[in-house]
Amino acid sequence: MKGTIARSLLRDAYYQVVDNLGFRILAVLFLLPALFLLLVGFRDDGIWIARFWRWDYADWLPDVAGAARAMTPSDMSQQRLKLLENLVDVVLFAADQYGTLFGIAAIAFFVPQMLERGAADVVFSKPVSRLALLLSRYVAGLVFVGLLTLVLVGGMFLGLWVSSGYVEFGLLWSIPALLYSFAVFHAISCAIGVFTRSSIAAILLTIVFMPVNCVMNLWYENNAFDQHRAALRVEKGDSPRERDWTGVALDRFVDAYHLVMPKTLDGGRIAKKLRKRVERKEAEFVDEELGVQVSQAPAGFTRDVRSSFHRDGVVWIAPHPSGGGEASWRFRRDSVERVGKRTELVKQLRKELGVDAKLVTLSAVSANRFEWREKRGEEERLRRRWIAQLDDTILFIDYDAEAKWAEDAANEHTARVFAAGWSIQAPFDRRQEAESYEGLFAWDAPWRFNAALSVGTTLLFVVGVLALGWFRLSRIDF
Amino acid sequence: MNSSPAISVRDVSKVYGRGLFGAQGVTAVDRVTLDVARGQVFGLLGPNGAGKTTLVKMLLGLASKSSGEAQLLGQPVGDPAVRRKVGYLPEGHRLPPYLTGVQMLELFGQMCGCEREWLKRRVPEVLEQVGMRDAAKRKIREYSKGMTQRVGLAQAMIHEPDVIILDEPTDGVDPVGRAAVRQIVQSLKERGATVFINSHLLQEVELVCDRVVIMVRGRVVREGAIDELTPRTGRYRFDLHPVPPNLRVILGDLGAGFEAHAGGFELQLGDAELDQCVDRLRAAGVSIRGVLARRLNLEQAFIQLVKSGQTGTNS
Repeated sequence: MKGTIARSLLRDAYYQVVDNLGFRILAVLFLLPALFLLLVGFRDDGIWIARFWRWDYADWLPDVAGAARAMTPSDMSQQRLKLLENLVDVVLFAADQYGTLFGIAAIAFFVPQMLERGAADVVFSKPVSRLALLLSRYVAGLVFVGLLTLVLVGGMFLGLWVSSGYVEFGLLWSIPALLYSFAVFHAISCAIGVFTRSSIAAILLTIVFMPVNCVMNLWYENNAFDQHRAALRVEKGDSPRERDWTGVALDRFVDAYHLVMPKTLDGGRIAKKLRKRVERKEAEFVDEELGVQVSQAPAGFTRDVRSSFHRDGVVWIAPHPSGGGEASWRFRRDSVERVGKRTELVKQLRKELGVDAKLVTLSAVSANRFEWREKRGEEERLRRRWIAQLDDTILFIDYDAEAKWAEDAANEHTARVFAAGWSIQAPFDRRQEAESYEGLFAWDAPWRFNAALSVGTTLLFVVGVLALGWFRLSRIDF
Repeated sequence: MNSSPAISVRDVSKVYGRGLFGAQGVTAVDRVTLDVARGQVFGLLGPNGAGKTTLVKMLLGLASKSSGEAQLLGQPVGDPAVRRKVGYLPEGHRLPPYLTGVQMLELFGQMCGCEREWLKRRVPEVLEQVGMRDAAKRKIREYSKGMTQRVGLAQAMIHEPDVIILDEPTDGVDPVGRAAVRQIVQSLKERGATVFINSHLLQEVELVCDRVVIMVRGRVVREGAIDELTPRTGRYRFDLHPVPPNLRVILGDLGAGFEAHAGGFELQLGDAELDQCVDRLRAAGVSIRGVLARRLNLEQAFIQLVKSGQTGTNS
């Protein structure tokens, strides 16, 4: 019996959502990025439209002093991935900011409309509790945004996969993240709807609450981080900072607000972390200390299990089918103290090899790329070396293969795809991330930066707000 | 069969806007007591503001009681489970505009605990009964007022309730539709359902109700069967054949307020005078085809009661 009633309430929610004009408009808007990514493929060899027309990146990118034409294929692949990541981030940011706003505006009338004279008499005379009816309207909102988010994120995920060959399962974490912040604001909108029985009031008050809460969240984050740094200074022996009572009282107020009220900014952060975690889980190689990540092994190569990044480097090997030895990729680190600075190394190698290095970008850091050929017995080898410096660490990436084999289009493509999968975080960015609220925010962090506490108290807030709405609803005489 | 009344109300009151410190509020329903037997068609009458709708809403848990006890089918009102056996058509109802007639009936049926398979058979039946089969797949927002009323009636009956409460069921319905509503009420009665009608249309009530309660200013001022509420006026209508030209001479000084009409006359008579009147007509060789004791109609009785109620005289 309860199942039948629950199903009917869900069906009602679904009908209400799909009939909504706002939903249809938003669905079309959310479908556009997915359709765009389905039609336009960003592949290694250029931009493809509907798999029929192709343009080279060089034709599209701004060609400042021939920079675009001077880019190597692996640079191009890196740029391609960056472009896709940025595109996805921009769309998700817009969906989070404006999607929530328009979502609230489109469905804030669900509860007030149910409570209108005439409508309430019909619905509340049914053998369904008031709590169930309130929750059904709340769920209707979640269905509304859930479907839209599925269209947006699912569509983009598929589009990127099918047309650009770019698969990022971490992207799917954006679905619960977008739902998370909406769930908070929708609960507030429902409760206001019960108290005021006015759609306009529900929309306006919720929309006013959004930036106010955002400012309070940011205020707290600054405070928490300041207090964290002050505590570290005291640990190092500095004397504690003197504060007057108003400052202390304000801090306590901000702390209390943060504990009780929703922490919607953390939703995006958690999604980002989860997305990163999926990427890292799927990655072939990760070094957290340096912020280095290799997304996948070069196709056809096998990782040498004995190799170590911290000793001679991590090595991937592929035997040449001709039987002429093997091709290898080596990813290693050394210290500036031991081998010297990057500029010195580049100078030295240029002198040794008699070739110039190209200045390239490896993910977020600049590097020098050498390419040369050398005779090894009867065999001619193609060698490539990238040199990058991360503070006092030097990174070397070496490619060594039989020249003829390496020049084969398929093998060159493999090398390009592999190089595109390197992700190296700039030391400045890494430091900045580590020394910020975002960097400290984690599941196992102290309570001020604890993600579990953030999610737990936010969900408690949602339950509390809905309980308040139900309390009021249970006392209304229709 | 359960012997408890379908609806039982004992000293139920509703006071709106009672202040925190015992300030006086507005009494919408004042110690009302009534019983509605199972299978009865019951009419609740009263002028605007009499507290009829408030009483109905308290029965359905839409409004809380300030005091007193009320039961539906032997169970306390307010329990959502008891509403599974009750159908309600509110006055000025607004059905979900985003649903079609069929979707609305299926959803409300499911809300009342009916299984979808059973509803697939039941929905067309009910739509047929209210004459809405052709428009069943259109959105409710496209319905006219009369259509909304019909489909609203359907939603009240969809789960075959034991008690059905109709608040102004013929509101906005054309004469043909009204006849259909009367027929539906009759069929509900035949099925054994209790029908509770709250209406301003006294002729409708007079035609279909077994028993009526009249409320004025939140109180029950009169309760009874239609016959009990519509007393004889003392006037009699005589149908004669032929009508003698000297009728006034035959009747002489009998009665008062003589009024001739084609085929007879009307006269105010006492019980003894009625016999004398018949004797005189027969003695004059006049053939009496019919004698009808005039009663107040419900509307007249209602107006009389309301007027006396508003001046503070309760019957």
